[in-house]
Amino acid sequence: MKHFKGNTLLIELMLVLLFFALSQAIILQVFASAQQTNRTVSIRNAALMQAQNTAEFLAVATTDAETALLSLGYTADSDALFIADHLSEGYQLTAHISRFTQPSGVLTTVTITASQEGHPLFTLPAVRYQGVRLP
Amino acid sequence: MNRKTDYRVGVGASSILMVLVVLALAAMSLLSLSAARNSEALGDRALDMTTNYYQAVSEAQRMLAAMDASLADHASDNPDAATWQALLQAHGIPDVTVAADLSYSFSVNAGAQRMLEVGGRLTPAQPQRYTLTRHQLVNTATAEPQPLQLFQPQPTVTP
Amino acid sequence: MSTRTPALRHSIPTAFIFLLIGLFALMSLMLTLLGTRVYRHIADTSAQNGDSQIVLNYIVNKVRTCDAQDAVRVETHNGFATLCLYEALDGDPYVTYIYAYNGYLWEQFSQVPQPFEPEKGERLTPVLSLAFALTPSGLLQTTIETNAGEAKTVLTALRAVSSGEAK
Repeated sequence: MKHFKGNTLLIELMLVLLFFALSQAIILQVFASAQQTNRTVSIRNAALMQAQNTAEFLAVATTDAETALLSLGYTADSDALFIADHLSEGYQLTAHISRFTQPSGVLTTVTITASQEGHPLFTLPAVRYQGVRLP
Repeated sequence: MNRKTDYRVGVGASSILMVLVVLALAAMSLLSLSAARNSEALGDRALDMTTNYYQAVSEAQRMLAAMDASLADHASDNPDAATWQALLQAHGIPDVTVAADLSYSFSVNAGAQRMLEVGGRLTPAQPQRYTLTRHQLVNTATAEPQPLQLFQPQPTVTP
Repeated sequence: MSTRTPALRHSIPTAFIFLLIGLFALMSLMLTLLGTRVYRHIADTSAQNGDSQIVLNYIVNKVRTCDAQDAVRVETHNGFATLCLYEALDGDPYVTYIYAYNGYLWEQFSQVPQPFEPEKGERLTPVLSLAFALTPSGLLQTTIETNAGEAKTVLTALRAVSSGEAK
């Protein structure tokens, strides 16, 4: 009988390739998960810095909140809602303005929300009280 | 019989190579995931601290608004510091302290063992009914003493 | 009876074996390169973000701890643009200088009358450049350029400056 030793090697190689492919299917998923996590963290950090800058600007702005947001690059979506698209960086900021008026002054609350592809990342409140002169 | 089976690759070498490569790639993938998770944890903490700070600032602004409303209501009465303190407590801001020179102060919890300390002066007769001269974030974590025993003197033996 | 020579009889399976070995080697190489690239990207991104975040968060938190009337100023000392944080300890005035010097962020804490000497501070973290601008309304703009070449700006409001304005 003639035996072809290559058969053993052939079978071994095929099994090796099979196990290699199965293991890499799992390892590639781990790599993809790490990459996705890293991307989300980078986007959230960038959005947080922009939202902070917006809140700090509003805290000492000499104009009203609407004008201040427009000067920061936001666009008015409605009377009380302003949007800043940072799609190149992967996030969007929305600012919702609400006011509480009392005889001695106005309490303006701007709620800044960051979202990535429609999913909310965080919300930051920016509240400022400005008193008025009384007669 | 003529067996010219001259294989340069022995049986088992490819299996060993496969195991080594899979182990290396698995280690690298776990390191990548660990680095990304660490980065995420740091980002989560930064987000929490920032959010807590802005919530504290918002609460401080609400307290200033309530204080200003009280000042506007009672400015003409020209009350003293103790009366102002009582009036502010009656207006729902019990945490404001008013000193004899009409300087006020209060603290708001900003999370992560930090307090936002706000202070200024009440000037109810002026158009600006109060001034804000202090808006500081203070760390309230207390440092525990950790003495280091560097030298333990041994009892001397007298001859 | 086969007319094939013994060499030819084994050449096709042998070629297939080497083909499989080559395929395995190629896949291993590709996946190793991919994994290395992904890991390097993650490590580099984390390092870059960390460097700039550390500097900006440090400055922002320092300013927030010193936000009092006339306590935060942007001054020039010996040609260096410095952020000066003034405070009083036991009645004595002290100042913390924050500045960029020799490619690093430095901090120096000293008593007010003492002259500013940049090399006597404490070296903190690498930074290419650092710039401060303070508006009359009390908005401090801090711009840093990291060793990676990217510039980032952070705004900090000095709320104690705008003291209880009335319209």
